[in-house]
Amino acid sequence: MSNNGTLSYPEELKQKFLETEDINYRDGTIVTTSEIWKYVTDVAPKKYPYAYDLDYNNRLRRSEDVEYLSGIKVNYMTLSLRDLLLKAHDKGIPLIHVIGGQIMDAYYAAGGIAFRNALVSQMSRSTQEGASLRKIAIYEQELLEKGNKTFSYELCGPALRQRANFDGHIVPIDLIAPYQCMRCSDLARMIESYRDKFPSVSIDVPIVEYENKEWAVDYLTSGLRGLTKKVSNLSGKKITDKDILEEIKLENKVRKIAREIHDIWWSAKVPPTNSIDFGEVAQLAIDFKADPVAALGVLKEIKEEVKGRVKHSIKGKGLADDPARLYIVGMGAGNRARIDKMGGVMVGTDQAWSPISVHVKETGDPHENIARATLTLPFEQPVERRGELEAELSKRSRADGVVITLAWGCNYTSASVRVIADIIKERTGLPTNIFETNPGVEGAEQLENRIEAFVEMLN
Amino acid sequence: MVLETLKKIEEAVKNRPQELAEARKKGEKVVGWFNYNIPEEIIHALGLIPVRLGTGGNDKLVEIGSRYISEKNCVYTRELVGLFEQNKDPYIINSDLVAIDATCLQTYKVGELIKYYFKVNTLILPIPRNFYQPEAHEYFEKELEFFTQKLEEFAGNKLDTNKLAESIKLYKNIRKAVKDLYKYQAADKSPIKWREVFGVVHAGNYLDREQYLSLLQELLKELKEKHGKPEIGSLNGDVRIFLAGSIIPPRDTKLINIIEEVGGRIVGDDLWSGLNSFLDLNIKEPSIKGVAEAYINRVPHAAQHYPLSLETDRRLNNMKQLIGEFKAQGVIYHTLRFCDPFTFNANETHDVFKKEDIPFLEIHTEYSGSDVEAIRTRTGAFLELIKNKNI
Repeated sequence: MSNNGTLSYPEELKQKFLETEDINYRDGTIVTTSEIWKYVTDVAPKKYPYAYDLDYNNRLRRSEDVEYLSGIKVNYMTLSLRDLLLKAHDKGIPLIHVIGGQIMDAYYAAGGIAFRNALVSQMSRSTQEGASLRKIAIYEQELLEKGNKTFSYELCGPALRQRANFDGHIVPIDLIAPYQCMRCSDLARMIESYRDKFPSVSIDVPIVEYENKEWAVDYLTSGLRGLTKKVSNLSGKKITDKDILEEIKLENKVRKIAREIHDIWWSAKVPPTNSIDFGEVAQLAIDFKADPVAALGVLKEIKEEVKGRVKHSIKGKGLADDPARLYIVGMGAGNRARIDKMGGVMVGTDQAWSPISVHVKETGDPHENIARATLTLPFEQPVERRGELEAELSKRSRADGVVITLAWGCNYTSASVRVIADIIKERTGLPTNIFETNPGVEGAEQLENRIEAFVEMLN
Repeated sequence: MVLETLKKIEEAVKNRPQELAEARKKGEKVVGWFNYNIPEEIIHALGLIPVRLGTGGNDKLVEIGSRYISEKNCVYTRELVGLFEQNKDPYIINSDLVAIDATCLQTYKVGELIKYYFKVNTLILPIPRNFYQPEAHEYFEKELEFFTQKLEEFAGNKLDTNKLAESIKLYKNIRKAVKDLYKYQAADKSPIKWREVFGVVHAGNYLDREQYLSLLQELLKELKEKHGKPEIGSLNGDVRIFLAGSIIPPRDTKLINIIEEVGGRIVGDDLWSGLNSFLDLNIKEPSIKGVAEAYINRVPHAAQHYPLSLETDRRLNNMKQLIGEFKAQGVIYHTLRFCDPFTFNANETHDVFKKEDIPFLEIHTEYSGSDVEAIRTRTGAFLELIKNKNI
């Protein structure tokens, strides 16, 4: 039972919401605002009560800013994800597991749907209809325990949970095909563990210590060609370079509008949305909630709404006056609503910014273009270069402090956090703090207490 | 029985730091390296002095390293950082350049840290993770070309094919000698123990490579004279253990001591700080391409994941082959805490050996002494189990 009530959308908002745009999906499906309203006010609260539980320990809670209308659509896309993916899967569209933080153009161009850990988790917990927050927390902990037993408790929690999801056929999967990039050292071994069980493709993203390594581009390009061929075989969609370039144009639009929203948001005197809603901008632009066409439409609405709020100095609901601005490096800082409650606000995360920060060239060889863009992803750079980029972004987002997080079991992040913190401090003078995060859905008290203390110090 | 050549090797190692310092005074340059896939042949052929860096087993250094790298990284990497911070290790002090390959990614990250914090002059060799694909071979060849160019700039001369051929031959002979040495330690009534051979392998991290080969050959000659041809026939009641898994670097003797104290006889290993570095490395032509092909085709490190069939996994097949060759009766699979490459594979590796009816024990540990008694109990019970199985 929540200690802070339950999210509900007041009936008096309905008419205003109905006047906004419908969501247009890639397959031609149009979901009307009326259908969305019914879903978020009637269907979803029964199916997924945990998402409506406003407990500050709830990492899965949706935003309480009910007047932020485009946020309602993001909620709809999140909560209806399982239905969307199962429908696509029934139509023969392959579902492909990827890693967070990579760009997705090649997967969608070849007729697949790429979904990263967060979406797998979302899909998995959606099987638990009617579950309370506590039940969901136990459910996810059980998945983690299964993964721990199969491998080791020292490994990355999200990877272990996904393994349990796939082994248990909780989430249907047609292909495992993540980028093998700098951000993750566990996923390669997870792929190895799937051998003889699930089809997989490993796209090796090489380390680029020095600029102008054309052979690294060639190598990645060939990997991407293998990927689109494999996905295309699964989807039955014959693809041409032109098709891939079209997809790149679409996903560039998504990335561009997400960057524009960030710039508008950063320029505002008062933060126009709370941390949950701001975080969703980048999330929507990274994985599109499995549909880039729908994501682009919703992002356009978000942009207009955020602009309007900035113009009228409307502050996101749940924020303190003049909150301490936290820029987050790493794997996320737990419950965003809790940050707001503590008097802070999240002004960006590098892992979300990384994939939206790139522009893929729209002419020429599309595989090569995707390869070149991938090799510039900020999160995947050698640590000193990455540290410089983090420092730049923390200035650009007008952060007051930087929280650097590492997820339990992520050896890559753990080896980098200290250097990144020191580079940021050197370049910006901003206070930094390093926290280890816990993969559970309920609040990790220790983590959040430390963040609270950090926010208090900044304030 | 004391082998005279072992004393000579020990003496040579003792003198080596001074030799390196003097060589540097004369203008020679030392290239320290760590990880798994740095081709020493190229360093040597350029007239540079290769030294393999890294030690283990020192909790104090681990703690110092933890100021820069997280406690969620393995103790080996933390100790490595601690070594550079302290800057007292004679081989680190004498390294003019430190080369690091990106095989184990945690170890690669150490390269980033020592460059940033301690201003160490580093050179990185990226390693393709899809090493089983032809495109990865092309890619690695280019990376090795680039790496060599950087080494050439550092050395101030160009790689000469004849010199490379000589270096390749030298290293080929070293590898053959080490493999022969392993046959002796596994033999009946052997005058040399695995522990001593492991020490000889580590001496090779530091010694002048020509001198090292000469000492290896001398040791083999002495063994032949004293023991004859190495043969494994009767098992003499020994409990023959194969040691596998995470790195056991020089000075990390914790697990080795325990196995021996409870009556086990280590007869082989597939450690990347042990025999594996000397296996299946056949350079067919004296060129960058030849070296690249050989290194990418060697027995893979566990950090080089292999998603294809279990039956064709060369890391596992290599283990099976060595276990058979050394007539080991059980496997102790050593995993360091937070060493994901080996920890991740532990259950799968266990299942593979279960099918082969080979007893398997995973020991998950780090350098602190707090778990010594627990490991001793488990190892002792494991050896009892093998003994009973073989009655």
